[in-house]
Amino acid sequence: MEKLLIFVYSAYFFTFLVLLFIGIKSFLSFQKAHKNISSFDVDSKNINNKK
Amino acid sequence: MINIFNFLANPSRFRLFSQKAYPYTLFIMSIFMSTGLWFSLFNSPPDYQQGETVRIMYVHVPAAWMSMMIYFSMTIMSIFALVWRHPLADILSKCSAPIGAGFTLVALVTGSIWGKPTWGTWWVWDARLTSVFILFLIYMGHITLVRAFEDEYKGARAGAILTLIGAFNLPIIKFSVDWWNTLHQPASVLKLGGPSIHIEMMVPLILMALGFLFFYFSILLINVQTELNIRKLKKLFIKKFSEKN
Repeated sequence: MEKLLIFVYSAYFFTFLVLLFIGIKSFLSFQKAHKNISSFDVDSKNINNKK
Repeated sequence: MINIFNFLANPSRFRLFSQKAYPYTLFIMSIFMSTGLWFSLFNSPPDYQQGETVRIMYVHVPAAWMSMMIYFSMTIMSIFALVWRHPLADILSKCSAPIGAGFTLVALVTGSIWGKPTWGTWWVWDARLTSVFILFLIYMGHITLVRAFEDEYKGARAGAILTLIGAFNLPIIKFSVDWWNTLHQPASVLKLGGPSIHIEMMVPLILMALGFLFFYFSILLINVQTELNIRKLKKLFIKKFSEKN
């Protein structure tokens, strides 16, 4: 019975690995898009101020 | 209900809504996921035949439910996108596909891991396993197709058509275990006549399913914000470029 636990732990490990991967990827993409749009806004304001 | 839907149809309003909502969905997810994990690993009985391996069910079954539920919601969104040209429907569908693909992969791999000790094999090409594998391929096809077009509208339209064609696979997945003789067991929770599973096993199953559902909501809200920001950035670039010229 002890031997079978490796299957249980493998299944849980894989599940949370995939969920973690999806979560981290989404969060990094969000950060990147947010940073890009913020820097774009700052650039636009600077250009407008120079004008 | 229709009023709420119309209210959220505006991308700016939806961005504000998702900014406010996603910390709550993440919090609810962590509650369900942690209690679900505790119940499924430490506070549920082993099966009289399968022993401890039955615990794989608490991640495999909710992942399989989610893979189908997300695809079903994508089908509804595709109808909205194609028929009513709903501004958010194609974004929601595009952002749902990678999460659905992830859950389908989890269902396939954990099912395979569960199959080895119970069936004696990692994989068989029976109706249920094959139809879920096809679902995974459709998800991957959708992800690739939507991003293959330079014009977002054309990509979304192609993705919506593919989703509608692929929706025929959903009843095949659901009823494959009834229509054909398969190695996979028939439904024991979502079936006519009520569930035939013991309450002690039902509790962790439902908790994990709710945890996965709120994981989907949280990631979807984050992905939608990302997509809206990318589209806004593109528009700003075009505006800036046209102003210069």
